[in-house]
Amino acid sequence: MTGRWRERLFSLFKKSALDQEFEDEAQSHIDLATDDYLQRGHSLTEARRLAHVRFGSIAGSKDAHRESRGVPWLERLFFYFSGDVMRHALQLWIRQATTHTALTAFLVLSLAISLAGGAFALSLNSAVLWRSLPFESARDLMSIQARGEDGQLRWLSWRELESMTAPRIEPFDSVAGLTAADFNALSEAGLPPEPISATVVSPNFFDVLGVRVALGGLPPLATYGASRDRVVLLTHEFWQRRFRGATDIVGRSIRLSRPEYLGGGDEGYRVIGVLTRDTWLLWKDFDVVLPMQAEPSRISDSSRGLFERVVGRTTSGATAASARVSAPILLERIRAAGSTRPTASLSVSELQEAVFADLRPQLKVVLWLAILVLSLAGINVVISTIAQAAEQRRGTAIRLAVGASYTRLIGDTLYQHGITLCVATALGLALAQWLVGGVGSQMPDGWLARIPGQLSALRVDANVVWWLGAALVVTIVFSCGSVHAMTRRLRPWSLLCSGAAEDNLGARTWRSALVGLEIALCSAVVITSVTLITQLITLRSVPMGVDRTNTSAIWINLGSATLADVASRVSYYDRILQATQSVAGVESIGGVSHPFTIGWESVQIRDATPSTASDITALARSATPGYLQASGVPLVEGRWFTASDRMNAPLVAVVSESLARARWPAQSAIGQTIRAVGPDGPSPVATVVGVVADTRHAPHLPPDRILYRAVAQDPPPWLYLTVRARPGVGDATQAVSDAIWRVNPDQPVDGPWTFSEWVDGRTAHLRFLTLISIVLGGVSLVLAVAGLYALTSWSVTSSKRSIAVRRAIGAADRQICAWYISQWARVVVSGLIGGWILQSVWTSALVGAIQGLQPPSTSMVLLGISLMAIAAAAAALAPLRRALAADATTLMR
Amino acid sequence: MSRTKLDLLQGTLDLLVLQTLDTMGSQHGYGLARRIEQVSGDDVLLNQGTIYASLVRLQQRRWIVGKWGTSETNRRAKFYTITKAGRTQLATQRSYWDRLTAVVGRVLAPVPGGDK
Repeated sequence: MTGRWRERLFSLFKKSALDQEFEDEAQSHIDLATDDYLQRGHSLTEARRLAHVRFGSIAGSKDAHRESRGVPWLERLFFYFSGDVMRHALQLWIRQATTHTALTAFLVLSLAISLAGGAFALSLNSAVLWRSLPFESARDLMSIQARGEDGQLRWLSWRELESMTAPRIEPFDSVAGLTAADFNALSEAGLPPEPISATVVSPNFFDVLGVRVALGGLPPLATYGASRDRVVLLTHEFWQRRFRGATDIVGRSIRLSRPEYLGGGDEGYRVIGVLTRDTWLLWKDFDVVLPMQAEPSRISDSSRGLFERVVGRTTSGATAASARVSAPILLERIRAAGSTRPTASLSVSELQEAVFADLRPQLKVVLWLAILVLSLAGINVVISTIAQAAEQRRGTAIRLAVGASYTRLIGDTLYQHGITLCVATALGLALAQWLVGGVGSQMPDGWLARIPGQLSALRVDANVVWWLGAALVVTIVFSCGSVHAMTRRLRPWSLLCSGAAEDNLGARTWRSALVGLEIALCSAVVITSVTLITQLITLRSVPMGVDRTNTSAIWINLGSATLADVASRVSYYDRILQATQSVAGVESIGGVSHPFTIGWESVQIRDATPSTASDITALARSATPGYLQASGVPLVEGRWFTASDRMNAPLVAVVSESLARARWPAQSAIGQTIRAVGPDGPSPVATVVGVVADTRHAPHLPPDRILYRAVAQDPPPWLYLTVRARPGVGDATQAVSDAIWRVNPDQPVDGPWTFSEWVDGRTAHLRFLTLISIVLGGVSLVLAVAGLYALTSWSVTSSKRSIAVRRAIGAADRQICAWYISQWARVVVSGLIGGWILQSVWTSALVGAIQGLQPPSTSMVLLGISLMAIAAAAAALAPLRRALAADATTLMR
Repeated sequence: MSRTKLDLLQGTLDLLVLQTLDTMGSQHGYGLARRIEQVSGDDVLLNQGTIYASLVRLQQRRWIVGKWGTSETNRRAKFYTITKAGRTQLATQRSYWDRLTAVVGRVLAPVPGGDK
């Protein structure tokens, strides 16, 4: 640093002393000059006057002295942050707020509401898409997904997973697999049976994800694969809930029942550890983690899918692109493992991207809505600032006349905005908390369970602050830019212009353009909201094919003791159904392997006799005789299953109407013989004995083609018991559960879920998006209407003279109206057209990305535009009345 | 015909102050301002107050030093003196100025026969 810069910086700290020295020196100068003029024969008064004139402005010289000796911009910065100036600015702001209460309240509220909406939407995006997954070096984690020839994701076998790790494939350090599985925690002393969710993992899993335990240790390598050493890790939450945080849990044995596809079995599992609190393993809803264990035959079977998801950790710093390069090698290795189910393709992507791939487009909608609302609020601030600056032109000119610098004027604007923004931000953040609690709780359960940290993850973090800060800075820059644009043309002699209060053409055009943009943005939001609302209403009115009245379901997942063979499983279901049928309050009860809301587990339907007809894919379901009545699905033709459809009777099947139509379009389905070809090969021949009405698992999709088989002939490893309660009974599922436990005290029961909950759940994502769009659409409508009101009001105020002139030369109300409407329509119509174009671009990008979302129809667009036009007309009504009230006498005021 | 007063070119006031101090020796602000006006034949438009911005700038650069004292009319005043570094700087600036004025003069000089 040079000597002069050092001096300049030091001068900042001895400002008062240096100012004092200048004043002393200036006084000395004036005195010397006065003496000089006295010596030249002037009177004392004249000498003093001349001395002052020759010296020039003392304040100006003082400013020049300061600028010369210090660092002006830094000094100005210090100055603006000094207590006096801040206090003065606050007093000024309060004065402005009390003088223009409506304007200040409007500014603060519109900013606060939009900031709250923005903060909520941004925090949602941040929690899901921007924040790193809660794993060590999460950026190095890749998702590896294999797809079969049908394009569906396929599970990988033990052998296939092994083939990816040895020998090592660059840039992957290690690869691990995991699977979600439904286990049962069996009854123990004082603990009831309970269905639990498990995550079953491969040997490298804990290293790959960097998962840690709070108590105990991790499963030793020897416990994986064909090992019979049953060990389990508990989640912190499960440990607290079921074992009340018992400190002696490690080493204790608990009884678990594993699902059939992992070999089944009720056994004691040794607890070896407890995971840290809030451990998230790509989903939150799990209770235990177990090492993947299965019989040697399953482990060695290359075709037996055991791992639902595969995650690889790359060497530090490797990019997703470099990991993708190795996809063909991984595919080759998998194929070489020798599975009979060929893998058609394999993809590698960043884990975060893969985990939330389906949520991304929906969150983008939320984000764009938030950006639109923030833009609207920003535009309103700029418009208000311009209006305020125009109104204060005389005051500004006076300030310029008495020596205020343009920098000072801009600085004052900045301060006023800063205070407004601080107040609005504080209010907005408080509102955001409320939104997170209110709107966040409406988030679909499927979303919440997948967000690390769930509802608590929705918070204002650095990402949110950055975005909001950027929005505020842009707003401030535009506002100050507008003030600068208006004041830089101002000169002190503007005071002399009689029309100083009149609006100038440039400012009016600029404001009109801003309001037009505001209407365009708002129209886009309103049309999107209208589209979402109408589509949600339409989807909710789509019949799902079942009768929801008084109907609930509970799930029983069988333990291996009851799974020993097919006959005992059938017998077990018989006993349960018998015990539950007689429960008081139950009108009808039946079981089905998959509820109507599930759209997977399919088979190929093939004619039993050789034919040229190609196979048709259908959902495979097993159901009990009572299911049809309990679920309310109507019988269309033939018959439903009866008690006589047993294992030793001829195999029968029932098909849904859409399957019957697709398979036998010109003839009856009754009497047709078919085989169902599943993962285990073709089933024995079954005869179709009935056709039932269609059901659908999602309202936006066509009805499902379903093949029903009798539970007694094809018993599934679990059953959803559908319970229809008698009218006025309410929930009968608790009594049903009690009846089940009388049959088997170890039988865990999950649920209940009402059919209405299930149906609502299918449109939960659209409902949530609709809720957000209604909230943000409502906010944007208020902002746009307020902006338009401000524009038209200002337009009328600033055009009073010209209205008065028109009145003076004989203009009638009709002409004033026409003039006013032409002003209004120019802005509104161009805004509406812009909104329509914007919305077309916006929705074309969304449709297809969001399940169930259709492009808006012409009627929806017209409805949205009409709503906007009505709101705009309402906003212009009050200013119009003021315009009509103006008369020729206005000219004289 | 009345002559309009000259606006000082940016930076030239510093040069004039240094030159005046070098010639006149120790001077207070008013004395410097008067001297510059007198030497310029009252052709320079100078708000006398602006000289103090120049003086503080030169002081920070250590080209002059200031010290409070008493004037010949028994007034308290701050007297400025040029330093050794100031003289060196004056020589450099003077040489620069000479070259600049020579070049500007050459460029602006009427070309013989150019008005034909």
